[in-house]
Amino acid sequence: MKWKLDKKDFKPFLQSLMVEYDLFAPVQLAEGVAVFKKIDRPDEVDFSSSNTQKPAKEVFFPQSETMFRYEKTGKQHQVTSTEEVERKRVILGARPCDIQAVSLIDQVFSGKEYTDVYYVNKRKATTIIGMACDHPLSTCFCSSMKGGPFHREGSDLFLIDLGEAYLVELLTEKGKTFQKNKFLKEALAKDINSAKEVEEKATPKTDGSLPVAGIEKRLDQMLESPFWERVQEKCIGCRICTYLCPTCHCFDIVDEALTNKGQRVRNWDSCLSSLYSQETSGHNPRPTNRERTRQRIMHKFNYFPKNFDQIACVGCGRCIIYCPVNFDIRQTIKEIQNSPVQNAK
Amino acid sequence: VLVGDPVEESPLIETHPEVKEFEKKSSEERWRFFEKESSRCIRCYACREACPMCYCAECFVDSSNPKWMEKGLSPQDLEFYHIVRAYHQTGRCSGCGACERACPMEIRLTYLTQRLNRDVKELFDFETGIDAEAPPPLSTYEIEDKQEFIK
Repeated sequence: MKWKLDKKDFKPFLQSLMVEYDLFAPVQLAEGVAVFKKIDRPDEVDFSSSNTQKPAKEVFFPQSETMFRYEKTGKQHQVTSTEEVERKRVILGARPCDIQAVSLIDQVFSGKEYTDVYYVNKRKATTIIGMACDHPLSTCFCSSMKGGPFHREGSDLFLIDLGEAYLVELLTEKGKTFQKNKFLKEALAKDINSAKEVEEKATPKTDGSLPVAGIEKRLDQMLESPFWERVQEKCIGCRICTYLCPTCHCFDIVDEALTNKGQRVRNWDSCLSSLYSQETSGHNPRPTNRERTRQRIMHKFNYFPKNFDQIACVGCGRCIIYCPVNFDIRQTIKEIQNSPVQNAK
Repeated sequence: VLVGDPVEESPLIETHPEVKEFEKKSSEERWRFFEKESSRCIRCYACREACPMCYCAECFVDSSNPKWMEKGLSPQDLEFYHIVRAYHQTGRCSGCGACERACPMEIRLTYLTQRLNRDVKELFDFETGIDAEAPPPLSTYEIEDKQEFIK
């Protein structure tokens, strides 16, 4: 059964969620600049951007996160944990690409090898309300990356904008608990049909033709390829593409210490920064942009697939939109796939 | 060869309307604006990397010894980064706008360097990019320099 949420009921619906949950939703920080933030009032929610600048991963893996605090008073030491998540959470309006990306980084933070308590606690406490992407951008290529503008996997609830209302699908056990919400009404056949129309219109707008099959094997042979010289040429070495990437998940841990107290903090880090691989001795195994841009591509299209059988790119297109020098990862993918095959060494 | 009539040169530094508008605001309003702009910063350093005048071998934000600031997103760290970056540009910012164009968060802070450039014009009669031979005032000195501006 499918459900319907009238837009006139949308704010009361949000209000009803906020009784039980901390609600994270897109908020505009400036014209055209949106991020996911915990909201205090339904009015703050703003879907006017096609997608947020910072991806939804930030709700589980904040850019800067305190891991614990410590204080020394006299001969006493006190350590305060920050692991616990006090209230259940809802992410509202995450796009399918961002949700697919969360399931990718789940494998890192709550996979076979490691359990990251900070990430897992937030993840467990969170219900994801996905939002179908009815206006994909020209930079979107989710359809090439096993996703799509209506890809539902990973969402607990899924909303499709029908103009006057949202069609609501309850997809998981977590999602089905929302049946009780008084603002959800049974959807009629015409609502389900118009949702299908929206889907059929939107789907062809994303590029599903990128040739990604076999890219991991090709890259196996390209570690020392002159190709990377060319790739790095225009990169200015900022961190936009990695910080705004929904699958990038590297971090750096630092102590912010005062004389008798402080906190341990983890911050997003970026392989495009020279400091990332700088060793204490001063030696840097990735001394130039060549090694650093190569690392970014290799991690997404070779190392991650080797570890987890999936490419660590969901085709959201943020790295293309926001790159100051118009580095286009779609072009890089095509060039890798068209490069002459070298003998494996 | 000169074709056509010479056009009047525009006095570059004096004509930044946004700086003039900004100066009309109270100091609280000015601070609120600065706070709001810098609060969006994600520390990607695209402004620094795109800037033709940022060429320090080690940026102060990357230095761990001495450590000038933390690496997180606290307002004081974000504000400190943008204030110091602006001050490092005093009399050097050519107003190309690459920092603002590169910024993915649409942070608008070039008014700071524009204002500093105007100070440099008033104090030293120097304009960035006008005379390639003239040394930038903040990286040179003469024995006869008056010290009145140091307070």
